[in-house]
Amino acid sequence: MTAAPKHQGRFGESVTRVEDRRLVTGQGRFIDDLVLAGMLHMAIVRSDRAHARIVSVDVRAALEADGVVAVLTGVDFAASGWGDIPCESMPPAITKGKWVRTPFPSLPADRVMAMGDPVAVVLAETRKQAQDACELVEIELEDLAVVASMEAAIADNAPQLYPDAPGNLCFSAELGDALKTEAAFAQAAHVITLQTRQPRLAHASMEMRGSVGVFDRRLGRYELTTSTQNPHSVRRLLAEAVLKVPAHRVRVSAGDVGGAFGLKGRLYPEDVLVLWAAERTGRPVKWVPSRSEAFLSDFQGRDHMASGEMAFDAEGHILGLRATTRHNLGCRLGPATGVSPFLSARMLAGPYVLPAAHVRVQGVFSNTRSTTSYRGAGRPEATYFLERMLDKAARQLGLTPVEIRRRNLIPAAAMPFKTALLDTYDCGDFPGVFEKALTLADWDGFAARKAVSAINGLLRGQGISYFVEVSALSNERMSVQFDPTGHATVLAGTFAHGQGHHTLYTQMLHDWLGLRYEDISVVDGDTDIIPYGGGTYASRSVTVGGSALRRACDQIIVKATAIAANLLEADPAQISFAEGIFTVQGSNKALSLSEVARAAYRVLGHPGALGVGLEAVGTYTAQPQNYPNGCHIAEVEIDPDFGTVRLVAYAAVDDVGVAVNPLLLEGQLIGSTAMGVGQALMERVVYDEAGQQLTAAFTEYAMPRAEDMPLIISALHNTPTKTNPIGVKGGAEVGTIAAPPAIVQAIEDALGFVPEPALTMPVTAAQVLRAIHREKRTEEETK
Amino acid sequence: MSKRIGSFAVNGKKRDTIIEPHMLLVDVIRDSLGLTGTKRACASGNCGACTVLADGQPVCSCLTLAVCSQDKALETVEGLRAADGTLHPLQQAFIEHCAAQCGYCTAGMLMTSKALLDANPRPSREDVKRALSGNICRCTGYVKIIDAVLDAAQKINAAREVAA
Repeated sequence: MTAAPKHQGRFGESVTRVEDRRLVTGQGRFIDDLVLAGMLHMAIVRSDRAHARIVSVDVRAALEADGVVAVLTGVDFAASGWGDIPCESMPPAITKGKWVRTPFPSLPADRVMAMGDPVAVVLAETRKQAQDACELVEIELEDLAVVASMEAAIADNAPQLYPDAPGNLCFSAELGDALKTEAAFAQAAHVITLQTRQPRLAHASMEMRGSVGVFDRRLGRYELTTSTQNPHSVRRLLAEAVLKVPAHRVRVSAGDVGGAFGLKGRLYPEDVLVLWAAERTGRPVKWVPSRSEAFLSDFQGRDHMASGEMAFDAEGHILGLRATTRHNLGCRLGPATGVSPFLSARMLAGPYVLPAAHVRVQGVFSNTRSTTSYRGAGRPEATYFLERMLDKAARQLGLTPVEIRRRNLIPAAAMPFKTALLDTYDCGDFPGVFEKALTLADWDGFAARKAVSAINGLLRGQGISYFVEVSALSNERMSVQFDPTGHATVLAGTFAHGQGHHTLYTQMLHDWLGLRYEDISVVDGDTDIIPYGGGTYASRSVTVGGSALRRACDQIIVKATAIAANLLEADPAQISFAEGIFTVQGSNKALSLSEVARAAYRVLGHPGALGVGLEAVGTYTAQPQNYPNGCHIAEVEIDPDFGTVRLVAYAAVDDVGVAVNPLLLEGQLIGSTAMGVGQALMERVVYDEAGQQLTAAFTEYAMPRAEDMPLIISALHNTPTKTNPIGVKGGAEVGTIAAPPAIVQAIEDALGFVPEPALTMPVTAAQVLRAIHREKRTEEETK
Repeated sequence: MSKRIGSFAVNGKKRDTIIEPHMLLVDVIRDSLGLTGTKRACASGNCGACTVLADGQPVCSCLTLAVCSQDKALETVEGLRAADGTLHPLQQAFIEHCAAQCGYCTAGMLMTSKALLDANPRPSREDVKRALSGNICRCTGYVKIIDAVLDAAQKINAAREVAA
């Protein structure tokens, strides 16, 4: 897919990253690298029970320990008057405001609701002293009845966690057209039913969350440095909901952030607690967890169940879909807990011609950690259900997985396509993407590869999945500022945490304004420098950030043209701009953009009517949004003696609209595919029936390693979107969406039978081996 | 808990600092010597982010007591590039192949790869995968890291042949 990359290149070219020199030389600045004079360390005493009343917290012994400065409890926090962390992700158009609000104090005084909930915080001179003193805090808890899973929470007579949430339901809402769907089912030649389950996942970014809080007594300001994806959201939530102060009294900034994947999207209790402790002690306060503390306190992802039925006509055309999509929300609502449920409901419209649909979406409380977005957020849940549904239908209708998709994919000529649910897909050539993927993966040549695997005693299978997702959430604001030396700085409202935005935005400025790389810098992640921003999540940044930046650059050219006209003593209409140079038509007079920018700051010779300096703000609001899509094909080999599944080939064709930097895009494809492989084959957060989380270390929560990843071949089949000025859709989550159903279908194909009970992610070796043995027994019994 | 002066040879320089018997090598490297390129990520030897070289061998500095590392030649990511700032071929290859995304696992990947190439200048793709099997990366999906290590090996060998 990629030619040898350049070190400097235009929009659309493969360019190495401007970020990397500092990262490969050990000069990244992550949260744990931040050390401030007089800084205290915060350690947190956490609940070892899943659901209990807090009877008492005795801090006296801990206060006597070496180096301890303060020990604070939920009672202290309640007395401070600091507000709860709110949920702000329930779409009013769908819920009609009907959802159960949950209390979310950063340090609870009365009740713990999941293992790992904070009960007290210790502040000490060193991290070790703080951790050691945690052992001396005496806590008395009185156990309450526990519901440790979604299944337990919705069972009859389950203990109810909130008085206003009967059945432990936070919400139950509907999308689509019930009557029309009923009519479609009445016409059906075939009705296929299915239930799917997504494991609960840990984002497990290599850098854990962490925060440093400072209270500036002189100015009455709160300053938080935190490992986040979204500094402006953190600031707004802190100012509006927790502190109830104007946002200008809160600064939130972030340095390098070591991965996030949805984990670090919004405000967390520990962000609040470091600021609270900093104000109380008058000293900077740092919190960085251990890995096991991160596993217990981080919000988690997925944990979803979908069930429903799909109606087909006699030729295998889809007539309608009826489904319930149900998400385990955990013990209380975090700011973004509503994102995945409603996106999964919406995206059940899928890439196929689906004339009628009726979807119920429910959120369930349980004594587990709150859930939040996890790379893909709702699209993987919807895609898995739809793709497994098509696989099952293909079997029952006697079609191949390829043929059933061919018959149902939305034709390019049908675009824009109004779905049976909420969205209208603006563009895309789904059948073109599909056929290109079949060719790329050599789908038809599979039999020869299967034969080779068989010689080695291995079972080989292939699986295919198609997905459509939605990108460009929310709005964005980008500015370009020239300084008096004629150099440009991009102030980005998005916030990079590994994606390489600084490179992408530099490419854009280089291409659109003709500036040299060394004359461009990009700043993000500081609310004192950047007045507003949406952060980075959901494949949004290049689309919304890039579009806003395009508009800012267009304005720069307009403004600079007027200044250049004055300097060149020409009519602005006579001035043209190309490759960074203003020229006067029909003359050899020329000025560079940098020279024009410098002139704009001069007192002499620059008319006041043209303003002072050169800067522009560009904004973009995605109305409507856009729809990246793609087709991924997986091949696996199973060792029938051990049940081990190895992904041996993976081919992906995606429609990302326009690729700004194919090298970086390929990195997103491979990285997201690795996370999809993890979900399909190995990752699962496990709680026992008492709500004890059993997976709190890398030895207990398996993730893909170097040996688990095959080479990935990929191609693009782009249809640029007209919903934004640069045509870009989005491409950072494709693998987490597409890989799981393709891999599970490939496993079934390799086995040559459909296991009963159905394979459930993660499809571990033990599960595969059990399926093989069960099938052998059945065969012997029927002989 | 007796404090004492510990003496370390890090990236070819002798560094003295106060240590205590319980202190881990990663804490001394990061907190006492200020070499924050080495990362803490699991503190249990499972992820390799804290990998440094001790007498050329990759070790998890989160599992190594500082007192036991005093007589060893230690190498961290800060010591990879030449004194004149020229990047090590591995660092250069990581840039060329876009082998870093968030960059948090990168130091550990580089140091593990350096130990591999020092011991085995012509590794196969499978050799590289095996060598890196103790290092977790959550962003890249490993493919570009493996490509970078193989490319660096080739460049190092080519330079050696020219010199010879």
